[in-house]
Amino acid sequence: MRKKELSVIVPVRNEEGNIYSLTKRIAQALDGEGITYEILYVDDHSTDNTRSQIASLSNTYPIKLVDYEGKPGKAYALMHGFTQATYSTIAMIDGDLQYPPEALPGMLEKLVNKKADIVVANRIEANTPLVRRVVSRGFHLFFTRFLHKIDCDTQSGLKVFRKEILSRFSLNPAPWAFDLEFLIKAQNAGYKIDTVNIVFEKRQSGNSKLRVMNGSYQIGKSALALWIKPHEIVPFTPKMAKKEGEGFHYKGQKFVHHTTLDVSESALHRVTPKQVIFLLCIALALIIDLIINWHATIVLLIAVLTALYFIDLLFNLFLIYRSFSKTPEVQITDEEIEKVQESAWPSYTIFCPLYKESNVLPQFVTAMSQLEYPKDKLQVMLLLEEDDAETIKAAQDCNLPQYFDIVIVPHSQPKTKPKACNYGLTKARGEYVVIYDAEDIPDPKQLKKAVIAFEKSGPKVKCVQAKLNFYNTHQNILTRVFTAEYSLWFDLVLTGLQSINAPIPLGGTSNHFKTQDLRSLQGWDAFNVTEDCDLGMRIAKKGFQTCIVDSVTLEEANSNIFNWFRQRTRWIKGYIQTYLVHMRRPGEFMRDFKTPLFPAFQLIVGGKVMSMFINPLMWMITISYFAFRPFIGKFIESFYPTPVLYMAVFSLIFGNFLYLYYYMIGCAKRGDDDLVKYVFFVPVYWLGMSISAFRAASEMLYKPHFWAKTVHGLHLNNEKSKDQAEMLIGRGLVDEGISNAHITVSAVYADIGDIHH
Amino acid sequence: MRTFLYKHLLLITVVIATVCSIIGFIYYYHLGLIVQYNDSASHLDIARRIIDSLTPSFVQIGSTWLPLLHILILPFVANDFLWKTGIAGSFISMPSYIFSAIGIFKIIEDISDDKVAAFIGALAFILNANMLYMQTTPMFEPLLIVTFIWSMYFLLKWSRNMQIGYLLLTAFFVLLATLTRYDGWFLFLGVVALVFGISWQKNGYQYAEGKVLLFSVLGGFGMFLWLLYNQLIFGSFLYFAFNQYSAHSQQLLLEQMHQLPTKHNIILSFLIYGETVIYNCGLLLTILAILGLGYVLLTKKSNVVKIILLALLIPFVFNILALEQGHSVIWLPNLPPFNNTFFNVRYGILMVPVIAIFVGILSEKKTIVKILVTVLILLQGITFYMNNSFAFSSNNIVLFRDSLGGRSFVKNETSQWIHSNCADGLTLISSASNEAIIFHSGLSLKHYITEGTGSYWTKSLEHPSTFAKCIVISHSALDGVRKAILKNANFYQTFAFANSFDSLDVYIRLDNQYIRVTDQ
Repeated sequence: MRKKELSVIVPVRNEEGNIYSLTKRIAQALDGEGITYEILYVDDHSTDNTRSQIASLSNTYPIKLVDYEGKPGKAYALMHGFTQATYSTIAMIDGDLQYPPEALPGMLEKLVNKKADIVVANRIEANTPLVRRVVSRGFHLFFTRFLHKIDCDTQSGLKVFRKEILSRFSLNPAPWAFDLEFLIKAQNAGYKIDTVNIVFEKRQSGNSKLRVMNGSYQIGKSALALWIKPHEIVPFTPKMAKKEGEGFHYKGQKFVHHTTLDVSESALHRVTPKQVIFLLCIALALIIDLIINWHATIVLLIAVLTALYFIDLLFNLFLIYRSFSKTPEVQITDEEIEKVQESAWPSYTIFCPLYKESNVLPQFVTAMSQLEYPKDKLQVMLLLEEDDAETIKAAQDCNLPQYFDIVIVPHSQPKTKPKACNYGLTKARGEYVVIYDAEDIPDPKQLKKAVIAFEKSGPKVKCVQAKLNFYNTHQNILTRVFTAEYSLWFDLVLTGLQSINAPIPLGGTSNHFKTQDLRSLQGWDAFNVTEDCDLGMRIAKKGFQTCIVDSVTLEEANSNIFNWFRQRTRWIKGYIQTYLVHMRRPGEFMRDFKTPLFPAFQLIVGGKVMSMFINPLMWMITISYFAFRPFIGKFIESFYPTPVLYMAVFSLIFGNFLYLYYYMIGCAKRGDDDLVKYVFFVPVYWLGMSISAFRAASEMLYKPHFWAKTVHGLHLNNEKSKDQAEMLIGRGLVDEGISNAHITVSAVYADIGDIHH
Repeated sequence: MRTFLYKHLLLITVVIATVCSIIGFIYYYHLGLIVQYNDSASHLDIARRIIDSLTPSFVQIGSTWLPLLHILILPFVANDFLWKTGIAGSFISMPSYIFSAIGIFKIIEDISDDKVAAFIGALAFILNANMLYMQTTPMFEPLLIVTFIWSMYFLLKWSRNMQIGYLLLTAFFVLLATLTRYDGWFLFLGVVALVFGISWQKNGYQYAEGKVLLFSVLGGFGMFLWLLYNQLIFGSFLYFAFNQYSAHSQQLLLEQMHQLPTKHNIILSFLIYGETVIYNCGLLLTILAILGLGYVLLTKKSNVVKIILLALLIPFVFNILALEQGHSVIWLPNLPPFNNTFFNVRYGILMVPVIAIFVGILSEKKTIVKILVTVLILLQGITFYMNNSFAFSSNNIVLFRDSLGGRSFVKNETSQWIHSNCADGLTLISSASNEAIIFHSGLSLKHYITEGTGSYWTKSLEHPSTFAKCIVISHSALDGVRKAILKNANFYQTFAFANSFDSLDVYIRLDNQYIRVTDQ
């Protein structure tokens, strides 16, 4: 419960007739309730005896006369008065005695009981002129309720609110438009607004300073301007951040993302206003061109798309060649590892975000226990969501080794893996840090290899990415093709990208960092559903590098088609987010002209996504051309002038062939010779990716931050897959020693405070 | 100095090959022999038609011959001078020759670990007079040789360490070979078998399956594309094999005329091809190569190396089988059908690099052998230019005689006549039978209505006076124009006989109502 204290701010101009009564009534109302208060009269250029009235009462009542010599206007006077307030709650009340001071205690009560942050006195207008009532009602309905979804008497001159609200945002109102701006911004900043009803009395003394038309104009203009202007991001105060973690309010919602990463670098917003304008201009230009000459426009579009395809084809061929001709990944031998004394290894924190994954927890614990790393240097953090009672209980019931920490991530939006990891980062004790997913089985030597890889690579390398592949490769056709894809990506494409110092989209797991570097990079974007890809781009933009280490983490390949769709949709959505975020300031890619960051980014992220949308269209055109050639052959040909035709045919034939063949090369390079024949299913896989892409685009519109959780542990229901996985890793998936027992965990964190068991 | 020379023997080989290539080119260019072969003219014109024709488009590549050479010379035939002189083709054949020499050097070096032996083997190839001539011409053989040699080299490298990169390179060069000549398809099959065998021996079935697929998908992609192209453009996957202009059709006609004695006669096929090889490579070197083969089989420990070296004989086996099946024809004066002419003797040139490799391997290690072999190579090289039996022929580089079989005085006259009388209009002529005439006329290909000009051709055959000013009719039964004209009752009302050139008649239209064409 909050203290009952109140600073009452009263802006006055020529209210000599009301001062005494107002003061007396305020005092009676507040004294009777045991409220500690002060009354601050802000004199807004009065020319009568207002000032002397106030001065005469100051000996009797806790009154201050606040001199105000700035621009005349109620809003300015109020804002000046707020700065002089002593107490943590503020009441503002007009000096014309039309608002009953007797309502103040009740309004304050709501604040004190935490039922609201702002209480507005809704006027029941008994004696107000009809014109004023009609205008007021109309205004309220349109400018307040319709535009801003605020359902209270915004223009009421009696409000009570917490003082700290004023420190959250800036105000720049017109003389009569303070109230609306204040309430809109406060609502945006997540504050609750409540109301009480009061009777709005007739003015007894003095004249109203409000000119209805002028005031209405100011208020209406302000309402529209605020509606057009994008909502502000309202960061937490340092006190709030210390209590809850770094975060902000936006559109009335609270987001706790545990990072200081600026929103302009995050995927909170899908697009910026500049990007919207840019896209609208493109769309408009396209529409105009189509109207002027639709045929030529389509020819141009096809030519551009074909050229992009062609460039992408050559780029990928180049990457594959580089991957073979160089050996870009960092190789660490056993001898190099053995040279390091056990005691010399640095401390390491492992993040494992889990959500509703109790079934794979034993496997994960086993995998961590198999790591060949001094256990006294390890901190394995199980990042569990507060509302995931099942996994929390499973973790507590597990016989977790000493170096495990169960960390309960307080519930907040966004509810994503990167948010959880950011939370974990605030508690990481290790010099190095890595993320593993719950179903991961990393190479036991991986941590040591990563440490040495950092040493060998030099200071520019801020991330060491291990290769990923699967242990349930042979579960079904989907897992086989998925394995082929991973082999291509991690064994060929990423190594090729590394060889040309291109930005590397990180894998979602097995990314190793020095903790200090990760903190400097401000962790992950909690709003990006492929936070790994985003971080990889940020690393590159800041002039740093990622290297691939020759160590493999085995994961569970998605074996269920619906699960796969969900996962792929999220990945593609994340790539779209990443592309849009990093195209806000594309110049950042071009700081160093020696390394081709910008074109590489376009091809790796933008091109990859675009191709999934364009492929089905191109295939439809091709199939239609051959299937219905006598009817529409000439029509289709008319869109392909000779140079474009040859480029398109080349891309169609050689492009598709090469993209397919790369999968085969990836399998062979990894030693999965039995998977090579399954690559012929890849065109169906591509179709699935295109479907996912369209779904991702639709999610971008309606739920951009939605994280579709991938279900893990499906391999555990398949004996054959389990057997194959165990054969691959050379041991059982789960150590039978992990069973229900009391926890011996070193620490359990819940909320910001540490609770040690 | 010796060490320096030894270390740079490859570079020296490249220099010598380049110098010989250029000297050869200058020599044969001045003799006007670059487009001696009729097929040379055809290759140049096929490429040229893609951009210079009444109906220019990529499908002018046609169907019977594989497209790689035509695609590669396309940028060069765009230039009139390079096209008409045939130098466009030399731009492909000459580098192919040089890179073949490098490939031969590398193979021998890899097997014998002896740079001097590698140099000697490469020299045997470089100084081969037939090869020196062939490398100036726009013919398939130099391109096929270079793709074949490098596929063998990378196959050898792959067999040693099983690195995927080498297998991919093997597949890539086989792909190129399959797009050059149909011998390459046989090479593909041979290499598939080798890849499977070597892989299975190393690591079992699954491993072999993966490697075979990895190789076959890339190596066989060219064949897949060719079949698809034939289906999409000509309506049948095997149009290239069975159309009226195919080798099959040609062979059928020859068989009817009893000019195909090797069919179903393996001994004769072996003899003819064997002699062809000797004509191309020289008797001395052929004997040395046989000794080299024996040396390999007896002394080399690695079975894989032996098998790969035996794989070099794939062209030898292919050509014999092709002769035996009646898919190929080679005529030599002293063997059936005793036509007293050389025809397709150039097929033996595929063995020149193979012989060079075995000769090189033979000379490994022992200095005296090296000296002896080198002397014999030089002697063999010289004898090609002399009238003696060491070259197994009299006064020839056999490919001259081979090429002369196609090129005749008659055709030159016809070309000149067309140039003088038909240059302002279109000429209807079958390019399948008379490509050389078209080429040597010096006119742009827009002047000609041929099989590849779509509706121009079909309408002209139905109504010859639709477009053409002149019509060339061969006496050959294969001539498509002849077949149509013979059925046309109104032909003689619109065209008059103009001239006859041995096996060709030329007609010119009676009125002036023909389409004018200018070379702009």
